[in-house]
Amino acid sequence: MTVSAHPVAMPEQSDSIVVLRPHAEQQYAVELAALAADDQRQRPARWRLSPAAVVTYLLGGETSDGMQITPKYVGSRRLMEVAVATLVTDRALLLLGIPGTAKTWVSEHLAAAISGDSTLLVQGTAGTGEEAIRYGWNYARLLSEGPSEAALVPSPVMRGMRSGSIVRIEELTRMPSDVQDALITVLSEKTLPVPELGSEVQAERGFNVIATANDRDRGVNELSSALRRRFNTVILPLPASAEEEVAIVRRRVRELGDALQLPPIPPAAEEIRRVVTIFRELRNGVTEDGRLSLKISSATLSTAEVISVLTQGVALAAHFGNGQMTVEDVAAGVVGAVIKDPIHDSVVWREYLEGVVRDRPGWADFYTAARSAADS
Amino acid sequence: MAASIHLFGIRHHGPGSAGSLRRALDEVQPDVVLLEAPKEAEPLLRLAADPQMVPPVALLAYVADQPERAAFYPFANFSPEWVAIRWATSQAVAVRCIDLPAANSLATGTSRIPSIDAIGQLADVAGYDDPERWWEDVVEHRSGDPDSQSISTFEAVAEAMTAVRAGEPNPIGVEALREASMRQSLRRAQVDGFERIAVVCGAWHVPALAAPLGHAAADAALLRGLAKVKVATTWVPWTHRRLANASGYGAGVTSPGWYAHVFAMEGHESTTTWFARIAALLREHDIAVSPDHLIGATRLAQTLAVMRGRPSAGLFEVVDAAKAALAAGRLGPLALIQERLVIGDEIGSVPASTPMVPLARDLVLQQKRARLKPDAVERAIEIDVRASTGRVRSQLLHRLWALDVPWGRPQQSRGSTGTFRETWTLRWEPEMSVGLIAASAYGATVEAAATARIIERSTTATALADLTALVELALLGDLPRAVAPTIERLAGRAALDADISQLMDALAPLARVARYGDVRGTDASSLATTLDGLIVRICAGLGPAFASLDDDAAASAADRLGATQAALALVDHAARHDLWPRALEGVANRHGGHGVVRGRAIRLLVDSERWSAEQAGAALSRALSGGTPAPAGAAFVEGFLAGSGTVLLHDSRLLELIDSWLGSLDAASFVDVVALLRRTFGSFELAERRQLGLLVAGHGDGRPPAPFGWDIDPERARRGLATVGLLLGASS
Repeated sequence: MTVSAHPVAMPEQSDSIVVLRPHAEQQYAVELAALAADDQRQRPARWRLSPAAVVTYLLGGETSDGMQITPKYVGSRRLMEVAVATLVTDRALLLLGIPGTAKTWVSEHLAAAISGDSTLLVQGTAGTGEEAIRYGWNYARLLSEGPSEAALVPSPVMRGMRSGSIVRIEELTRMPSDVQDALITVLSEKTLPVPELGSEVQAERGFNVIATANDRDRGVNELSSALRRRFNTVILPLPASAEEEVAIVRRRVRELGDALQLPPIPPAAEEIRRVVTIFRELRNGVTEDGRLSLKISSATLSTAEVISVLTQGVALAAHFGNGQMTVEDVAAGVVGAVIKDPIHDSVVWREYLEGVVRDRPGWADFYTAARSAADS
Repeated sequence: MAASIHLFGIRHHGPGSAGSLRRALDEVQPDVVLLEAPKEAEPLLRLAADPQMVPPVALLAYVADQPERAAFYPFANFSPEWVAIRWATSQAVAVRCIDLPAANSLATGTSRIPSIDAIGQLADVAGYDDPERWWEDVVEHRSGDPDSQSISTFEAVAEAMTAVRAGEPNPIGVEALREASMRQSLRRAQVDGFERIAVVCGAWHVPALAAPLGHAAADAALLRGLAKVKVATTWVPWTHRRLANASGYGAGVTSPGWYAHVFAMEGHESTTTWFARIAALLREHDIAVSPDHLIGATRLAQTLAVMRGRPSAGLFEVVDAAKAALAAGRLGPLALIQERLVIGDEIGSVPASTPMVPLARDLVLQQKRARLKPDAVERAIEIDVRASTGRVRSQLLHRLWALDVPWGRPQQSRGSTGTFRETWTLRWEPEMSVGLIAASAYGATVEAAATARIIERSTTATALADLTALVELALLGDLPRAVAPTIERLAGRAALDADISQLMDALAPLARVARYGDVRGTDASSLATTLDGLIVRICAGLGPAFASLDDDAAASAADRLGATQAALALVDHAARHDLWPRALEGVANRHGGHGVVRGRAIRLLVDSERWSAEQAGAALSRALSGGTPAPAGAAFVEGFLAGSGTVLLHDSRLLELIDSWLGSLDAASFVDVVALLRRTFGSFELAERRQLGLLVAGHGDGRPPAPFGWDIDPERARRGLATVGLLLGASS
């Protein structure tokens, strides 16, 4: 039931960052500044960038003085336009999708681009209480002075309303339903009543909410239709083609490698492609050429897993190997990612290994590596 | 005085072009309108003013004695050509059709789709990846603004097209002929003394018609001596769905419903009314949509339009907004919206005085002969094919079924398998008249068209079951010319097909047709050879095919064995006596075969009296011996009993065998098989079960126990009486 309280202190320079993972507005401060300087279009109240510039920031592009903006999200342009346009209107944005489709990533970058602050974050868990959405109390003060403004501990939602920023709510469906419904008044009337003090907080212009939810897990509390009505929904899909997925993976592995300060070992393009192919085939239940149908593993085999398998491979190669990423480094990670349920998934993996991998030309080394990884 | 020529280059089926065109015509007030349509259409244009003519409609041009060679020219409410026609007829202004006559284009049989996508090239240059969107932004949406000069829009289009065509080589082939024809007609209009000439053609052709026209001699030379055929033309109703499927002239349009809406709402707020229609549609399908949803969706669509820099919300914006705001990302409502609104269900109608296509005329004749009237109200009819009217009706309905015009839908006959009785549900829908028109491409009479269609389908069908269905259809519809090639293809397919189950599935309907063919007076002699071939293959391949099956496959395999035996009995085939029983024996004796299949094979052998009861009993006892696991034994019993316990009732030995086997099972094995056996025995008739129960409860020697009677067992009665006395408190 953690509530993010204070933003992390700004680092002095990008190459002496001490935190493991800087916020988006810190990491891409240069790009954001360049876009803001270049942007001549109209901006909604308290937005750092115009909507078109936000989309450019997300999807990549170029400013008028030639600065390259790296793409943060590789996918459909129309989806991102709908997401940004929603935040301009008075409706909130709900990002849906299976785990690993960049919902949190997109929400962080949207908040960074629009408000310059992605730290107003509420993490939804099964134990989240109302204090996370509305406000809590400084009990010592409350007891000594009675209810007062000073005794109030505002939640990120309240702080966002006061400052006119974007508030992020992660895993909305994991919160208990009564806590979810606390959002209804906030979203429809844009006010947060404080009955104990007899006052209210009204949202400033520029306030909006980005929520993410995961529709695949067990233990989700479906949104009530009254709450659902206040959101515009955008479903983030898995990458449509293998090329897209390879591009995403390659970029992210490089970035993660930099962040973890791993030596810059570019994973071999064919390794990336191989892992992407394996994951896509097991995800879709059919081989890429559509000839053979496969059993589907119970593990979530999304792009995020591919990235983590390859990052792990890079780390293995860097610290335990000779600096070149080999098949063995990857094979163990793949086996570990695919087999989550020991009974069902090992059958799936074995069938896949014997039925598909063994006979594929050029995959013989992977086959032996995977066999030894599974046996050990 | 030189005539002033105004070239209006339009986009086919573009609502913005249509609106601009109407305003331009009002401004220019021409005294003749030259339209890009085949010359033969001219006399039909006066029907366009008839109030019964409701778009979407299409002009149909077909070769007079070969209607399968035809071309369609569709028009919708929002087509600029239609707007031009209506304007001209309302103002009593002459309309001339200036395109290449259909007599020439149908003679060569070339397709009329333009080969160069001019709009696409321009859109590319402008940085749009979708040509429709580019045209919408540049032309269509701007035309909603009344201040914009309509004529200047067309001038800009002409300039753009000239620039695009400057880089292209001169057109050749059909394109050159068409443009030559258009230029000749333009010259003729000038010579005829018209003062203000308006030309309405596809934007691509505008540079070819711009002054200077060049030498008439060159065009005349091109058009001299072209092949001609005799062509007939008429109006036919059309649908938005077919417009979206891009058949016929020019490029199809993917969103006719949206365009119709935009055209109808011209100048007014089309986005909000569109969402209101979506709301009505979704509410019909029990999807809750509130006014707040609509407000949110409208706002989102407008914001998206502003963000994308478009003058107003287009189709992409409303689709995205509907997906995010109304459907919460679910795909079901979106598909509904796409089908019913974006494409739309519109069907046009033509006046009663239009000349009919030959197929439609023939259908009216046939309907009279069969004494069946097309009716929009659904009704069921029973047909007895032994009577002549019944036979005529059955044939007509089957032929229409073959043409994909489902006026009558066959229902399963209640109970009776005698094939002289058929039940059909009849309902005539307006869509069917369009289907009939499309089917007229196959022939001029119902019989000829159905024959051609069946032959065509038999060439493309790959599954054996489909081919069998086609043979059945051809025989039921009395289409002898279609029967022979279809049977030939069936035989060829059967030879190649390695799948015994498919062959067995194909056998039953063929046997049916062969047996009852005489009832209908159809000639199915060629069927007999195919049947023979099928049976030989089935018997040859039975063993290996049924060797190792899992439970589901075994159940269907057992059913197939039964069906094949029944089919063989139906035609009383010679194989019944030798070939088939040997194949069955092979299945029955196969070690490791699934119990259900083996049991069924033995049962069939017993039923056909090839095996005696002793042999069956021996096989049964082997299968139910201690060495076999209990579930395998239960499967055997299930296959053997085949859904009826009659064989047990009449043969006490078999009953005893099963009884002793059941008794020999230990507790764990019994628990394993009880579910399976319950399923088997539960499917028997109630009377059978009762009798079985009585038999088993009897003395075990096969004698039925004595019913209630007057011979009392005194010992048992005395004991009962004692208890009664105790209850009543009487002293014994």
